[in-house]
Amino acid sequence: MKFLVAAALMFAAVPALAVDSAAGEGIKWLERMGSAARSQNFSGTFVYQQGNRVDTSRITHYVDDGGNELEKLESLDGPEREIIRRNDEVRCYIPGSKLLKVEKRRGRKAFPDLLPEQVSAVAEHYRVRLGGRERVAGIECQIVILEPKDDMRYGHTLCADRDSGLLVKAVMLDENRQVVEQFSFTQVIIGGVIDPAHLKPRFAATPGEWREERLAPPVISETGWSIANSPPGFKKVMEMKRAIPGKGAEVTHIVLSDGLVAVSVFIEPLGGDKPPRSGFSRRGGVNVFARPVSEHMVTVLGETPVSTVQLIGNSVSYSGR
Amino acid sequence: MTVEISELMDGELDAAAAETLVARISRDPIPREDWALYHLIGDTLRGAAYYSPALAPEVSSRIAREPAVLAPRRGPRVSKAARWGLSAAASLAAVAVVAWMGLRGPLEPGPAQMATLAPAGTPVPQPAPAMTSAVNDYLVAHQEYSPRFAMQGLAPAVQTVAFPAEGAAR
Repeated sequence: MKFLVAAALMFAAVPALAVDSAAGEGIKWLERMGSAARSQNFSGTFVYQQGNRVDTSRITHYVDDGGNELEKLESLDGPEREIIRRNDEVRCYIPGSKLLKVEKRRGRKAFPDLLPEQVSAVAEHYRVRLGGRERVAGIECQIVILEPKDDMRYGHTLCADRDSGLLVKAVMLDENRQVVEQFSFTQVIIGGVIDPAHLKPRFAATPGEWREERLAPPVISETGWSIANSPPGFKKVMEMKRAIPGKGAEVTHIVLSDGLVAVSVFIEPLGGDKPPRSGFSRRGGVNVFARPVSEHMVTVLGETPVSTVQLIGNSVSYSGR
Repeated sequence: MTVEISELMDGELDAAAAETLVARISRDPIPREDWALYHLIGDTLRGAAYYSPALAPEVSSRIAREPAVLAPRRGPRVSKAARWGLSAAASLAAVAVVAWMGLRGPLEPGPAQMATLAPAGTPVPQPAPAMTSAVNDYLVAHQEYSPRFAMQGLAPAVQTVAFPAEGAAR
């Protein structure tokens, strides 16, 4: 009898261990993806696809001897845009408007550096496991799957270079397994020498001809609005009053994030002439929920399921200053 | 003709020429096939997972076979609900509002508009036309601060380039 119990326990324990080690492997891969994106030299072309839009960008990433990250990102479709980043200082060149925007990166992520520095936070809300192998842009990749543990976020499929760990493809899938958005290299060279000349801006941004906007880093400021009931893992990363093109009055903008995706809450005073409208809509993979609260219009949107924007929208309230 | 189609796709035709060509594509099956084929080529070259409309069945079957793609499956109850017509959804929503009022007590201003709320698990997205332009401005602002930053969120001054592809191909 004792033997039987011991044997039963053994059999029960084996699958549990196997699951743990698979998750552990997955988390190691996530850590590799994060550090490769910050420490490797690479250059290539990637596409970003959301809904029926496709944007192509060229990226060159270089780490100098002093450990400084230098990056150049150019849009290849539509109006010219170019972003030169040195560590967290970002310079955006928009030649069409002769505009140079200079700002601090304020902790946001861009492909292929999509993972938060604390990967453990991801594992709290997503089941992490290894998938198979895939070839992307000529690179042999390891697939890592992030399955949401609740219905408040979408799943992700990540493919990383087996050698360097660099993320070469990231796909977000909704509850019906439709692609919400994806980034994918179409061509990339990882490692090797990069000519620093390739990291210089193509535009001179001559003072007088070009307008330079220095954007102050947004600070979390009390706006008097609060969100009583955020979905698990979604933390406030930003709260501010800001001007938004197309809006007359100043708008309160609150950003919540679970480390992988963000939800924005916009709050603007209701104009007397417009009757308040509420409801849901969808733009590409972005769900939108709007409702009037205390003489204001609250609009919540993000690359999340409807339930998430609805829950957040329904828990916005004005608590006053 | 084929050169023109290619130029149209690249946005290189002027408005008048584009209009003429689109009109021709929409009534003549031969250039329409070229149009679809070019999109397929373009999609393939870009390595996009989104393919042109005619390929939808192929994409669906490939997704079904794709081992890498994994997301939680919804129960049959939900997909059934998704097939209900809007009228069914509306009456359901009316019930939901009553239930919701009961649960939550007095509503914020504008309870009538809350009829678009559906019970959890059966979301019925209903675009409110008045929201359209407001939402677009917000989308740009959101992209700017999203941790998944993409170029399209960059310049609010830069207009989004509309894709004529789908509408014209039908």
